[in-house]
Amino acid sequence: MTALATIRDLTVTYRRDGSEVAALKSVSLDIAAGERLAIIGESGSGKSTLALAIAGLLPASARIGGRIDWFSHPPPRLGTKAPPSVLPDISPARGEIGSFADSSPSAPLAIGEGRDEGAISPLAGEMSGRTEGGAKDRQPKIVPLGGRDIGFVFQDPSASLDPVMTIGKQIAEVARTHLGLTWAQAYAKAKNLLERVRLPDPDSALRAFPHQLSGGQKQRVAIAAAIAAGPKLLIADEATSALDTIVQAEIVALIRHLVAEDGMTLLFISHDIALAAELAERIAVFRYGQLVELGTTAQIINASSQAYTRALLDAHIGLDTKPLLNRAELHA
Amino acid sequence: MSLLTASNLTKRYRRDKKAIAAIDDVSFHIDPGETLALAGPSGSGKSTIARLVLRLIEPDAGRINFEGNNFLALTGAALRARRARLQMVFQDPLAAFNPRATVARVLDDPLRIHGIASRAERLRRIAALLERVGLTADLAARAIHEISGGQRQRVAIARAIATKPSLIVLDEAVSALDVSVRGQILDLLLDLQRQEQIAYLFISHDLGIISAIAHRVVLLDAGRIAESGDARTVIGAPQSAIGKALVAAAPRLNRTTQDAS
Repeated sequence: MTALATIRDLTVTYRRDGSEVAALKSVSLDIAAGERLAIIGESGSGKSTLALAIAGLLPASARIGGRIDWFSHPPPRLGTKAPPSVLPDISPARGEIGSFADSSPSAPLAIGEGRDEGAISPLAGEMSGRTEGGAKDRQPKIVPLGGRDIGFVFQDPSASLDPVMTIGKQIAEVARTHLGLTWAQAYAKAKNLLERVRLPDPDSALRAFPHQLSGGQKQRVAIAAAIAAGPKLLIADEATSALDTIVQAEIVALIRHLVAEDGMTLLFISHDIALAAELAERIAVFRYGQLVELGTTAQIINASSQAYTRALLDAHIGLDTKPLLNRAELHA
Repeated sequence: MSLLTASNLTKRYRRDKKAIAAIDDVSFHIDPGETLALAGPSGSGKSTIARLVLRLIEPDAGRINFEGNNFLALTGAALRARRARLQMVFQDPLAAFNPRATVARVLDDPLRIHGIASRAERLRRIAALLERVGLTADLAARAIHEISGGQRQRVAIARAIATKPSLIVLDEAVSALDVSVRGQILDLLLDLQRQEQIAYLFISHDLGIISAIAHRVVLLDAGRIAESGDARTVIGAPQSAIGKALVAAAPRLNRTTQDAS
């Protein structure tokens, strides 16, 4: 397994009503390059906090402890040549992302104790792979940049899309910002992305505004924007939870397809263990800010060692679940 | 006799100067003590039917008979009195209630408005309602925004049963709950149905839950009924295109062991 990132003793604390609330408590977890990893948990489990911490999107008031180390070479487009074929074990579909290896001279980056070090902030990420660290850390910093190296899809596409900007511009903006394209090139890329997320009539969709699209179509647009810069890691945080079952299945299939096609790593955050099991290769179960169990999907579903995981599985009500209703009693 | 009969309901909305039928010629009935589920994709008209049944909106055509009365003809005091028998629980109780109201206030309103209990008696009634839905009486003094989502949905159910209804419309009432809480709320609903013979119009996109708790199901597609019948029969072998699509899309766990220990 080639690690994309290793998370060690990650603790995130929010201040609420004058008291400290730990949303994540000393979480350690490896994310393998190219894998589909699901993070499962109920409300308050810390699953969204983990996603935000990885993406560097935590609010400034959050206190962060522990470290997230990224194992990645800077993308070739930044002028640094990646060593060729250091990675025989993963074969990404696109050359430019085939440059992860923990055996090669990549440098772990520590996230400091405080927010002020900003190691996972998007701004610090601007320097990705090019700068020397501060006095404390002389190794080259490898910090992923949100939007370019990490794509993020949220639950509510209406809230993540700008209501007064055309769909085309919202996607083109990402490509222009991170890939250095001209507007014309970026719009061409946006159209191509709308085709890839299978939006009907991409030409008119480019000129459409979010309110003119259905919920499922908006989520397709949000996915197109998330992958516009060719991120290594795609984080989907309850990305299908607000959609109806049929659209949810379509979006899950789309995510699976895009992740495979682009060789992306997927972090799929969900409350729905059955949905996660259909998509993920590994599942991490969270509760009360702690990692309860981590294993392959088959291990978690069929041979879980944790009572809480089994309780979650037993609480799932599927098409084959025994009826809760005693059906003889209605007209008794 | 049916508790509620809806006949040929049609509701159109105007969009871009065109009339779009949200509900087109929909008929169904609900028997006393029965759970009828409405399922279908977004925009199929589930929530429009809920609003029509509650008379939060009026249909363009069709009839609703409830407890032997022409429900759409009722007005004023007669409508208010009949509404006590027809209650509702929505997906998000935080949006349905004043978040700063106390639990006691939320439960006091229906008791007062429908003249169910005297002022002196209401505190005792509130405590009994809380106990009935598995909450302790000391929760009465808490604000709605202070309690957990599961507790809030229990309060919503307590408020709904305060007026002794014969029918409760449950619009995605368990969709936002954690799975562990969801099971408890479903058990509570089934228990209330057994004890009080309450019928439910259960609106959900989740066929797994519908086949576990509903007697019958109506599958909607684009405002029309695509298929209806015994819940487990329909979901077990759907005949309509939308029924097949909904069943195919439902996530499956495929556990090889059912070790519940």
